[in-house]
Amino acid sequence: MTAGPGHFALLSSLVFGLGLFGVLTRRDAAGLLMSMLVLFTAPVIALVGFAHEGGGSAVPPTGDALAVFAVVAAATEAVAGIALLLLLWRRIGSGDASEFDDIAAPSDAEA
Amino acid sequence: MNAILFDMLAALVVAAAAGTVVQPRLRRAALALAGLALAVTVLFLSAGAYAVGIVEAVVALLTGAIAWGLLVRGRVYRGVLEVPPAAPRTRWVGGAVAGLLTLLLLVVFALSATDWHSGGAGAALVTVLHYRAVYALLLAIALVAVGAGVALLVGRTSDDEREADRAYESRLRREERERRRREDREAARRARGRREGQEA
Repeated sequence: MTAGPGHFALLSSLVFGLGLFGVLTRRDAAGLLMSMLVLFTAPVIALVGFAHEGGGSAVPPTGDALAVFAVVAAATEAVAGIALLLLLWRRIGSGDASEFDDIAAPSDAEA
Repeated sequence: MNAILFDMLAALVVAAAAGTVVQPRLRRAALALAGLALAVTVLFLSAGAYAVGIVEAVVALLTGAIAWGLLVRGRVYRGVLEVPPAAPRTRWVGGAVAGLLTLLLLVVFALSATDWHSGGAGAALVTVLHYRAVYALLLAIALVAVGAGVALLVGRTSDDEREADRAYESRLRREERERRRREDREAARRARGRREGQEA
């Protein structure tokens, strides 16, 4: 018995759901960033499954290229997210995402 | 791909993903994320997607090294990981939304289970990404360059911030010196009191 694209689709859905759960429930910025990385792993799993197990292996470079692009996009998001996290840490000294709302307060008051 | 091997790897992937999003301690969540990257890499290699597997491993290692260097080894930013976990008040709402969307995805996948398109020599969608794979790779390289540039731009420490950091550190040192001096005076006073008591 072999695993087909449906198996990868199921796994991708579960990982997507878990990542979304983390994004919606975590309030620490670093945890939020990690949950987003989990979320971004889901489409890559689906892409690899469809490209290599769905009979589309006749043209694997296209599917692989899309998957590589998705991996690189997720990594870029992670690096930019870390930079943003450090910037916010320096500005407000907290990693709690709920406190980021206060950043806009001074400019609102000035306006 | 062998179904048993897939099931084992899928269980590992789901467990690692769950650990990453549920674990309140950031260090443990980061370990679970590393485990997820490893399990996904093995899954891709087992599925025959060698290029994607290698890129996933390299990217995970590089990103992990950057995060480790900045957040764990970097003295200034160590506090980012020491933030106490916030109480997840909206957990049930998040769970419901995530569950519904996952269910929607599963229904869509189940309904289209017999309609997997095997693809062809030519791409149906003439987009930059679908038309030639090399464009996707070039775009990925451009994305890395832009992402690194944006990260350096956003994360850089400006002159006034460096000045503020220096002032903050010197204030901490001054407060530490004053605290020690106070403790020494207290200890000397106690010792003097004991000595005078013994003499009396």
